[in-house]
Amino acid sequence: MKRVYRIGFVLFALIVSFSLVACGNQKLSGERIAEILGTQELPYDYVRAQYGIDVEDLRQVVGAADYVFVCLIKGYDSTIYNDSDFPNTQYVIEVIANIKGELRKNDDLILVKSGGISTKHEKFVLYEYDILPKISECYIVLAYGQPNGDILASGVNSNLLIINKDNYAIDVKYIEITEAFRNEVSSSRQRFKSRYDIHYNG
Amino acid sequence: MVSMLVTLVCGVVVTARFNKVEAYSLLSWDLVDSGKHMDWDGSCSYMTEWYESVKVWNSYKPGVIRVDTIWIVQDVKIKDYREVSSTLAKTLSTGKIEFNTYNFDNMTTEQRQKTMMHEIGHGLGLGHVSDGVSIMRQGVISQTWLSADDKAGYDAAYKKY
Repeated sequence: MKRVYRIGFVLFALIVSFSLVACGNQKLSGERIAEILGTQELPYDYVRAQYGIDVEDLRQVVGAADYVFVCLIKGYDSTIYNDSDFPNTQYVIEVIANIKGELRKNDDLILVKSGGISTKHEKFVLYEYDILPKISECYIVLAYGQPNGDILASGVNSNLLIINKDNYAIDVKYIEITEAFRNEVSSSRQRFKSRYDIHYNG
Repeated sequence: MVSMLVTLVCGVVVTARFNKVEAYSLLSWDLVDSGKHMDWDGSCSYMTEWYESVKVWNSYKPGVIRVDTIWIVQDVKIKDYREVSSTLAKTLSTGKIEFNTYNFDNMTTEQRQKTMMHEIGHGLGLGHVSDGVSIMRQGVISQTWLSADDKAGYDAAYKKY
């Protein structure tokens, strides 16, 4: 009988231990992630990346991108990890104006952004010098069409905040990007159309 | 006039002397263990370039970078990934080094090796540099050797392990 008590006690102790560990690793809700995206509420772990272009030169960044557009970040969708510690954040966006390429307007699209909350939800993981878009703000996004039809904004200068939301056309960043588009330095590579492209045909 | 010329020349010499700074930067983290080893595991599509990259770093400080075995704890895992972007490769502080095959497939052997040597440099604790001849520069570059600045950076990082 004593042995049964002993086993029972061990099992009870194990259950309590597992519960404590589980509580310690509690994941944040989607609403909470949306709230703290782009803020300093969690620490940032900056990933070191090498780029094939000079990411400080907007003419090259625009030239490398397939799509450059002004959009409203409407919400947070999810975070994907693709068999890696490196997160990709999926945002719900609405395109307001196309600068390069033609994405659907007046529709909810999914934008994939490199970086986001870590697998354990204890920090944000992001490329060095990059920023994560905040919900309800307007950005110029410079994105790549993916073979599966996604649009990916990746790396430094892939999303630029529009401060003058009500009149984006006179915003400094918009003027800079349209000027960069006129003088874009295009790179030769295999390109893919997004499923949100008005000319997309599968 | 002569004194002005002397002052000017001295000024140039002094400026040049004090402007000679070692062009490297150190990260706040590295992937080297307390035994001063960086033990790697995993694989990628361009292993020949990877082994060459390891060899170049080890030729400066032998035995630091080792293949992981079952007897030692892995510090770094290498792997491929594929996405359409201008990113060539990345190193995470959690010990992952990832190579983007979308770009790697279109690079030369030397460019791939430079990119891999650069990522190993991050694992060793070196940060990016914006000028000078260094493996830690950004971009698609054909460099398969360590510069004096890379070695100086590695020496400084090694003292912190």
